[in-house]
Amino acid sequence: MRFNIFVLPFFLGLIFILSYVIRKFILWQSQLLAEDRRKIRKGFFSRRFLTASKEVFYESLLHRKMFRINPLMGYMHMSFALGWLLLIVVGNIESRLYNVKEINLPYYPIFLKFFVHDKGDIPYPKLFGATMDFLLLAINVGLAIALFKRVNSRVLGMKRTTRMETVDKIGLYSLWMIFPMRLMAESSSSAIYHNGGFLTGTLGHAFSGLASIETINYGFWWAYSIALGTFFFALPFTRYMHIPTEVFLIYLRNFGVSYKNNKKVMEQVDVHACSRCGVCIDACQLSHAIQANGMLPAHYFKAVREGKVKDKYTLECMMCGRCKSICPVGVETLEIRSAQREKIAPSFEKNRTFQLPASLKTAEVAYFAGCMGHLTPSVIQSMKTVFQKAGVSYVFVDEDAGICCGRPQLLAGLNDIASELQKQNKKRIEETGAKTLVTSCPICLNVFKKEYKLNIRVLHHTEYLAELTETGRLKLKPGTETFTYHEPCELNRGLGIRKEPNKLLSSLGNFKPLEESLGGFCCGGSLGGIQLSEKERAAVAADTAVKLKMVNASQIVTACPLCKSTLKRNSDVPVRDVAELVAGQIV
Amino acid sequence: MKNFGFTLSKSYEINLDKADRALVEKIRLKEPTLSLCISCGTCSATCTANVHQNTNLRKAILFVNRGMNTEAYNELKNCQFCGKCQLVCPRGVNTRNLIFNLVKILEKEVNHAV
Repeated sequence: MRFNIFVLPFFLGLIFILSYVIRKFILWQSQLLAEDRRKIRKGFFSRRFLTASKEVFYESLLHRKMFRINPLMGYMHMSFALGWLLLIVVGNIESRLYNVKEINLPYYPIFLKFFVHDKGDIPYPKLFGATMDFLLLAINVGLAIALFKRVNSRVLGMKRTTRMETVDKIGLYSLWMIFPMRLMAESSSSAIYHNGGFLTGTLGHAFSGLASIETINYGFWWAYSIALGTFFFALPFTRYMHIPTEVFLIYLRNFGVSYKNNKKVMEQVDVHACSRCGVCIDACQLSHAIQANGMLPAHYFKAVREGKVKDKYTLECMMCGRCKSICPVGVETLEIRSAQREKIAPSFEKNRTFQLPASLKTAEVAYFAGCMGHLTPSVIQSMKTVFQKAGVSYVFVDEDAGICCGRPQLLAGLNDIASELQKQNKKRIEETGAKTLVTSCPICLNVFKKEYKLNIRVLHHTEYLAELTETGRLKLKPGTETFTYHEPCELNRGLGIRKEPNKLLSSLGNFKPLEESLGGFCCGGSLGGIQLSEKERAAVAADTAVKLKMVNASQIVTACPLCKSTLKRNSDVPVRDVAELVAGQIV
Repeated sequence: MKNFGFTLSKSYEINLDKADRALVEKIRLKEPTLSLCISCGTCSATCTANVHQNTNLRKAILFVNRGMNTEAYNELKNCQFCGKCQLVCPRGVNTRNLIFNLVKILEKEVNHAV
């Protein structure tokens, strides 16, 4: 067994990090429900293990999603993740081929070139030399991009990037030192022993004239080991904890561990898996519309991780979900925020009585306008016209004395009131005996679909109108107007309803869609935002209105009463609802 | 007497010198737009919850300004938090955050007193 004292920083760091991470994983999985722990045990021996491993390869190593966001950023992440792993794997193969008999401690392949100088005994020495040098070069190029990103992040498509504290800096700088130090150590070794591949060999050749090369060489090996050790010791306390946690998270997700039933521990896993890469920062409209800072997902999750959450930041978010759409790790950004809101929410009256008008008549369709729907009477009127013209028997569930659907309360963390209101509304809807529930409000739709567990079809009015035109119950004349579509967040990102509105719009006139951006922008009115002033909301709305105006359409069409109300105040292009368009074009 | 749908309020005295206005100042710090309210009552007119149970943001703001905290709490405890009031408010009062913080601060006070 070969040993030199300089390997200690690395070796101790490695022991520390492995025991820390394993302890943490065991702790986390022990906090899961028994049923979910069983899923993990089963998962290891099922096909899910393979799918999860594939995902780990694509996302944690190749960083496919990152490549899609920006190729340079993708390369940077890939070079560190995949490059480093390959360096370890190839190094291990190389050292094991050479050193079959002896015990091969983990530091041995890492510092192989310090211990072994005559590589004649290793099979394919040139191939190994070139491969290792290539990997080292690839990582150092990635590092150069990382350095450049710190100086000028805009080039890498990021307007704003994350902030760092002392421990983050220690982690970052030690990570930056690792690969240049390895390069220098290996090159100076090859300067002494005249070996090395195309990179270390060439660089070594340049060193070979130096008198004190042996001391320099030993110094570089020490520096390399210290850089590794420092990085390992700092890792759990920095964002680099995402490296092991992300892998853990991917397996949990693929094994079907429920997020909802294990909110507390899954939140911890998620905030540790957040790499603070910062792509969510530019995706968040509050980031540039009002220069928000502490509420931005990357910063906020750090605060959650450290237990330093400020109420203001918890309540500022609009819950539009753009961050969730772009997050390469798939952090449940909205779940984390609403769980935090639950913690600080006030308690309202729980036992409520409702003054409901006489029971509803039975009909084919139950129509629910929603609170926001009632603020846009023209939408309700249009729907009434449609029902009438198509000869549909309908009952207007919340025409008089409606009850809120429960979604705004869920967004605010007021789960108690939400379930109370849901119970009442559900009773009311079931009373009608309708086979289909149609709502004009995507906010209501979300909760009807996800929480109510109704045994009837639940449709948004865009879906329903598309269905009516397709089945021929409603005949429309083609329109001539040019319009664009503002996608409501609850409809598209929240529920994935895109096909029907798009199809319907194409049949209504000259439809010019907005360029795809994470499934649309926020209108600024979102009920998710609580501690946002009207001015701040208007700034978001104006930001969205400008983007919509650039399409150069004579109208903006949306499918959400709240989007309509908010946008029309901040846009000089008229804003209308799909239902209004349809009602105006009935033959 | 003919029922006009409203009654006369009983007379009561508000002594602003004696009123405990500590809470309203605490709330104002959390939501400064509280000061913008002109008691126009648009919020109460559109309120979803008011149809079912007594819920009146206009009154709640008046009460809390006079230090009548229990009364203010009672006006808001049945709020459904739907956000209609915020959209109709002509003064741009951030009503949802106001209610969130009002109820949060008042519930402690009111329940503590009981």
